[in-house]
Amino acid sequence: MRRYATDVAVLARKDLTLELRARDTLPAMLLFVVSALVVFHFALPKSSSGLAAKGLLWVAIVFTALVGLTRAFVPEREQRLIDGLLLAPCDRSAIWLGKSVAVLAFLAAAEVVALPAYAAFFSGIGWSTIPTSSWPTSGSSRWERCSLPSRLSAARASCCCPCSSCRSRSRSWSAASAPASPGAPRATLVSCASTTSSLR
Amino acid sequence: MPLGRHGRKGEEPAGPDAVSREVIRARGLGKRYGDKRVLEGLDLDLERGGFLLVTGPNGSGKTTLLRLCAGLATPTAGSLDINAPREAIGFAGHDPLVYRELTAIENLDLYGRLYRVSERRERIGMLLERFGLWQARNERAGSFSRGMQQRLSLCRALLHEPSLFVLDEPYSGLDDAGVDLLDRELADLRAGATFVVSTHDPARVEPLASSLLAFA
Repeated sequence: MRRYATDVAVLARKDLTLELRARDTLPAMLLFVVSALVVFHFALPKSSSGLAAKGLLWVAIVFTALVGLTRAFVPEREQRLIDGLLLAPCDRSAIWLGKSVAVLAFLAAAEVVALPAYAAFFSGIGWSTIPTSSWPTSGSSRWERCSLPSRLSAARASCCCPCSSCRSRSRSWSAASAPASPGAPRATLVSCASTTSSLR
Repeated sequence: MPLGRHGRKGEEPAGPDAVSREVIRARGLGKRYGDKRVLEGLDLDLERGGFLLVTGPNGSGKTTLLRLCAGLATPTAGSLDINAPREAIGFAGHDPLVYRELTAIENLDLYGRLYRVSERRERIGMLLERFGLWQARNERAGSFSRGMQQRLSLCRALLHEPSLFVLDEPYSGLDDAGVDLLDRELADLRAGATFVVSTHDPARVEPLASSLLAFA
């Protein structure tokens, strides 16, 4: 478990460092949440209850979380860096959890801006508003698990058990043979004079 | 040399005490992307300490084979046994697999932590020095030239002292000094590791190779 937690911490720290340098995701999330609250401020009738306003705060935070989630794997997708993470001996779920931790940190930063904006546009915030606004934050991590890149799921050839014996076990794949088809590239195996490996 | 058992599909992997002579064993290996069949009916055995040189024209399936050997793809036909744990595989492909926003040292430190490299900092310093990147260690990888990124990628592949090297066109982007450096590294590592290397310049690597796989 300690190794797993270390891997998660390393990966989360990597994502936080990348965001501090690139500043791709967090400004987009901040801009979105403030814009959403501005729009809701004008859209919500004046006679609406405070509960409706809190509901719109939830909506703003959930969609802000989605903005963060859709951008979470951008470096891994665009630069194919997911291969580097998949090659590492860490458990594959640690990659997801590290991303979740980083996105939650971004979302917490967005809420630091969102709550004062909410207080300015709607009603004041109390101690009950803060845990209420944290519910969408915790739900977003479950959403991210469902939206993992299919490649990450498809590459789970080894078991997800963090125990070292499972990780170090040799891997075998077996797929149903497909009928031969013409036109597929042919490979020629040539053995050199030194026959330290066997080929046919 | 005999191929060994045939029709080995879906066998239980060897236990931790079993020492298999073969690091890679494929039977009827095939890979398809949608309707496009890239590999089909490939059989091969690569013994521990062997050096498989893979050549062929563009689009013939070299990269696909190497990605299968590294565990980055799964076959769609046949069977493939890789008797090497993930932490024992060093892969360098077309992409350098380094984060552009991180410095050279930070990239290697990230992978060093994930691979739990012992004496990580010393090893990183040694590799950066050996591959001529020490002066640029605190520069972001995104500012590196293609050749420097390739050198950093090779540092990353060597960092955890793997026993199975899967190198897809490792000479790509390297200048003469980089090529000579890689030649020396491969020669130094040859005795203690198993290699799968693809290249468009087979003459350079052929003296080290024990077997050759030529795609048509």
